Amino acid sequence: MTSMETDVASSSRVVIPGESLFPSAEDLRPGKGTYELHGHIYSSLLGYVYVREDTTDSRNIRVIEVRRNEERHQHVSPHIGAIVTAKVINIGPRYAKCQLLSVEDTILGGDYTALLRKEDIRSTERDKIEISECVLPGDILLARVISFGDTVTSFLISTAEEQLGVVMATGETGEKMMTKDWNTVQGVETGRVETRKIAKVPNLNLHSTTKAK
Amino acid sequence: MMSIISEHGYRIDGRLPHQIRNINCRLGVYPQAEGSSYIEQGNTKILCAVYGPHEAKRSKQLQDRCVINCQYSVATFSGLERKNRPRGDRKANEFTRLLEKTFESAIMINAFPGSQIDIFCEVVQNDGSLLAACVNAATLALCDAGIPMKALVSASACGFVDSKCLVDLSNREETDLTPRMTVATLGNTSQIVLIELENRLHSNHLPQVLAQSTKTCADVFECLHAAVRAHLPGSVAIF
Repeated sequence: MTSMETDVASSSRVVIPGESLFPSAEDLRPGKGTYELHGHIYSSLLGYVYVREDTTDSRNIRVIEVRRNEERHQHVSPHIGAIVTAKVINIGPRYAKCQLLSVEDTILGGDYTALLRKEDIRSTERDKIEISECVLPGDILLARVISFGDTVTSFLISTAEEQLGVVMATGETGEKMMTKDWNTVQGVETGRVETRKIAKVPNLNLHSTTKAK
Repeated sequence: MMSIISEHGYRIDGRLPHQIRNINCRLGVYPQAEGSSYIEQGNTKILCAVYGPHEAKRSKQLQDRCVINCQYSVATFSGLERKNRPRGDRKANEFTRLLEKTFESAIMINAFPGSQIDIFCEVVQNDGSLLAACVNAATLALCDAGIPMKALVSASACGFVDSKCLVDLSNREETDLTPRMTVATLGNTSQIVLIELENRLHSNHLPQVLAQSTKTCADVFECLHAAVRAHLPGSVAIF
């Protein structure tokens, strides 16, 4: 994400669903918790109004949001393109079944299941992928939602990116495994080595300090 | 038979025809539900809980929007006579469908494709205007849950007796013969999201009843508005 976003005004204005916030304008955009109708931006939630500056494409756009500062009320269902944290429930010959734990940084309340198909595990040598060499039940993955699936399948997720894949693994004996290098994990107690499709998680702290300069 | 409006123009419980009963409500009554509410309209008492959005059953999933699933039940001890079963009778199924349709038009259903939102309404005490009270309770619970809606929905019941509109009917006023209409509107606009008529009403009287109903909805809206504002903790209203 290259957009620079800052909260310019965190107001104490309380709004209820259906309350008119601002008349529509060139430099105003309805954000989370709001909607636009008949030339006005309305709130769709009970909460406080926030105005945030968004200078993504060198135009100053103010994004209007309505938020309630309570974690429990952050409703997100998975959407296409979102990074999700998933837990592998079981694996089959063609896909691994996963439970979605969170979408980006919001913890999901309900039970959402998703399929990680064999060909979506990595982007290279797709025909040689063996599921059991990439993920095993109990592993925690970072993945991207690629489709809602059709009527018979649920969400489809993919780990075919360098930063996506296994971040925490459970060994065949049930012990905790740490990532060793780009495709292996090592048990913390026995030192046994197993193969996985590892996520190369970028150092986010380093990233934010370079961004601030 | 006792008349519904006395010769001095008062109703059985001492109200004027256009007066609603006291509304008491509370939000966030169940910790385990996403949102919940309790509402009293006079002696009618409703509990409501909202769960979701969560993944819908495969057979019910819709690709472009979420499914609203309601359950309306009347506690066996709520009325004058003990009920045999709390739900599943014709009346309860009808109310369930009406509630679903109402909130399908109020909730931003396109924001959650493939998901489901469950709304459970339980009548704890029955003193008339049940559908209207359920709609009001469900709005409060949805608001507590933080589910995006186009606007708060407010509902009211209106009867027509001796060429007068009676609003917010009590159980004794809901006789077999009085025509009564339940209307729900979006916010304080006059956009109608639910309309239901029981018994027969002459079409000449319809505009009068409809006007009184929408006006009462606006009154109820003010009560709900005040309640949700008071619920948001530490809230300071600045206009």
